[in-house]
Amino acid sequence: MDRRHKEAMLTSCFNQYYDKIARYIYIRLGDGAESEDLASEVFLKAYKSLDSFKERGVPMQAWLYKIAHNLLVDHHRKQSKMKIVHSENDLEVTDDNDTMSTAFVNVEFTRVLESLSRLTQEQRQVIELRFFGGLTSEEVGRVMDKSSGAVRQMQSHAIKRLRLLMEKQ
Amino acid sequence: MAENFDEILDKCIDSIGSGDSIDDCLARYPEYASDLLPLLRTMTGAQDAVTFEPSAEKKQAARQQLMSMIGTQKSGQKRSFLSTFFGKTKVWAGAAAMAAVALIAVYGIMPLLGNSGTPIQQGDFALMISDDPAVVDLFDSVEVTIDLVKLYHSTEGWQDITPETNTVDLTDIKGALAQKIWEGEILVGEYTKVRVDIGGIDAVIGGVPISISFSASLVIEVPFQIIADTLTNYVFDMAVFNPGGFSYTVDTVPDESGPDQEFDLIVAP
Repeated sequence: MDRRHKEAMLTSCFNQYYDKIARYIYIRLGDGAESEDLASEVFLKAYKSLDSFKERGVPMQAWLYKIAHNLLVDHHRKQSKMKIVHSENDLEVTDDNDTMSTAFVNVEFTRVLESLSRLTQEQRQVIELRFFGGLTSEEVGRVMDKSSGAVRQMQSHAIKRLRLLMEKQ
Repeated sequence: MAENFDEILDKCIDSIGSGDSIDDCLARYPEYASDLLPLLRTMTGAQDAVTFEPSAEKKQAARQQLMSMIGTQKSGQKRSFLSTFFGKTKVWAGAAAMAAVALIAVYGIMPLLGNSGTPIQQGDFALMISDDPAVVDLFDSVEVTIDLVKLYHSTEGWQDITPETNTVDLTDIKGALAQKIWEGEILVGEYTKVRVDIGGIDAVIGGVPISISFSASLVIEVPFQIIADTLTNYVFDMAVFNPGGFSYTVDTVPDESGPDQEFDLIVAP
């Protein structure tokens, strides 16, 4: 696959996945503006690494989510150096630049975030990629290096647990 | 082999993601309905709680930044017609294909009122056809008749377009050349599919008519965004494949399709 072909795929993926990747990041950050910036960075980083992308290995959208995941890890690492103390309040959304304008929505969002934070890392990632990233189980498997069957099994467990956690709150 | 619950739940999640309701899923799997219902409600409840939508301005800025990087690279390695030709030949050597490319250009807006009285933004739209010279040189002519073009708007559904020029000869539009077949206004927003309805293909090699099989509707699912005051180009790429012998068939080439493809516009004969 030549470079031009990859560039065409990347621009197509931008149209299809920019919003979803921004939402996937938002679930982790809770900050709209930061999520948009990081989503943009995903595509710029992908462009710079385009030569390393091999179509037969991983679908491009799964590759983009891997980049997003790595950027989130870096972001949290930088944040943890800056913030010595973490509290439950970190989950609350205080930035009003996004579309969450009502207290009810904030409460619901916080409830979801807190429930997600109580899942295992892998369960959480499956839910985030499936529900908010819009990937198929097969694609999630490519991101997480799991079989689609393993993803489906994790997904079932994760939703059952998420349900219990959300009901408790 | 019977589906297990995890697979059924997974299918329901996919179908709800594609626009089905929870009830649609439960109706498909009535024996699992009581188990599926609370889990699917948990999913939709979690999704509904996340109302964040990236701003159109930020998205456009990010897109322009990406396109600018791609453009910078391209201007540094401007490709000649021959390099385009040989590049594509290498890609399609195994398929012995020729490609037809339709380009959609969209720009500008015009506020209108819909049936409900709600203002509707529209953008101009142009559709063009081109092809790859790899195989088309074999032909004296390959006239493709396009009856209808349909664009799938993510919220408004299919939008019909009747081409102004409904017949293109692929031998007239080799390589990076493209022919416009329609221009007009369409709704702004996200489009996920472009469908081209083929009325017929008349092909001739060495003065002898050659039959080319084709699907009545060719669909490419490469999404594109129509943004107010912004020109968008979309390439619809279809190819005539030679599976063997003297048989030819037409199919889409999604990897070669989508917005921002390069083309040189020709005037229709």
